[in-house]
Amino acid sequence: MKQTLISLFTISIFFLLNFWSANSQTNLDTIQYKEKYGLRLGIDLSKPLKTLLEDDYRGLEIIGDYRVYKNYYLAAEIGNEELAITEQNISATAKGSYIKLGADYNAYDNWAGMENVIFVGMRYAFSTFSHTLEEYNVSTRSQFFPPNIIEGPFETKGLTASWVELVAGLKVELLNNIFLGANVQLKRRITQTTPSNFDNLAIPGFNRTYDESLFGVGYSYTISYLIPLYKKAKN
Amino acid sequence: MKKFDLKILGVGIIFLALINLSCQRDDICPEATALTPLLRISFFDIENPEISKPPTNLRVKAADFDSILLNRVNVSEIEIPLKTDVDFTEYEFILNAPATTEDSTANSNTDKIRFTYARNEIYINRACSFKVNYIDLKAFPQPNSEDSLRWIKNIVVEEENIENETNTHIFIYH
Repeated sequence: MKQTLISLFTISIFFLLNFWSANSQTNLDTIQYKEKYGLRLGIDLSKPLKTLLEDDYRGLEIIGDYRVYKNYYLAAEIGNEELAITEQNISATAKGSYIKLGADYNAYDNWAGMENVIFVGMRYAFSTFSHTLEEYNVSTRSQFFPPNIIEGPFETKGLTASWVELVAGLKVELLNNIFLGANVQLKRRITQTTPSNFDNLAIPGFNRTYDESLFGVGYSYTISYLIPLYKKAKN
Repeated sequence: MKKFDLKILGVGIIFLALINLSCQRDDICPEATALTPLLRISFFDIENPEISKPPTNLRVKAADFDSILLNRVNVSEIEIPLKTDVDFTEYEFILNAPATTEDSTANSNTDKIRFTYARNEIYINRACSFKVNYIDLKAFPQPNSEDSLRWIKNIVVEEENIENETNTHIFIYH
């Protein structure tokens, strides 16, 4: 499944790049049009929504980007999450904060007067969190004795993790300076500290982990507001 | 035209995000994973300690409740589970177990053994959770009747630490 996700992700990036190169060949008008530069701030809509809909989730993420040069943006996300993982034999909660820093590249060549973004980006992310083993079942093949279910919570504080993210998504200007966006993230863990004799089943900002892999996936639906600071001609 | 393409792409990306949302790998503990090991016991002849000797019609049941683990087996090697919530497990080993409770012709002989150990919990993975390895295993025959009536003559702990099921942990001579 994970491999399918990764390949879909890669294909979508190729699609984006194709799209960009196909468009860049057409030169539609020669009128100089000024584009807005500024700071775009917003939130990830999916996290407050999941907080409302799911009992064992709580989260908020603030997003921001700053257009540095033509199609290049500095980008950052900062968030706090509480993620519960419930497996058949084990349940755990990860709780903590994270920051992601990086850059986006807008691969979309807009029509004059439009400021939509189809982007690919990279992030370096860092999270500090606590991981709590809530409950587990000692695994045996024999059903002779009744199951031995051990209830926690056993909390380990002061854990950290870092990873890099590949992001692809879009931001569409719905109203003047208000953008609605969606993106997907492919994450690859670089470092992590784990509770002793246990593992991190989830990491805030990274989402759930996979036992045999350093990769993770995520998505966001964003709403953001562009604070225009200055305007500059397109070329 | 461009606006149209943008919409298609948007739908595509939202679709990808939804796939993300709905598909998580189902985590099933693989059959091959080593979980909490069973205690392996081999039976040998007391007269001829090199020769394995299956006890006749052996019944194995937990001492503290009625469930029967093995009934009237004739094998020279058995695997029995140990409790993972306390540091001891008591079993009754019944030689010549009667087929029915009314059958009094069977010359049955019950020996009780108390196994004591320390437990070491080890995390396996998210699907299999934790297993217990036992360390410092000891076996104590429990007094239930005169010593001369015991069918189990000697118990030798071969492996003090139960970490797998490939080695026999206890030799019973009878």
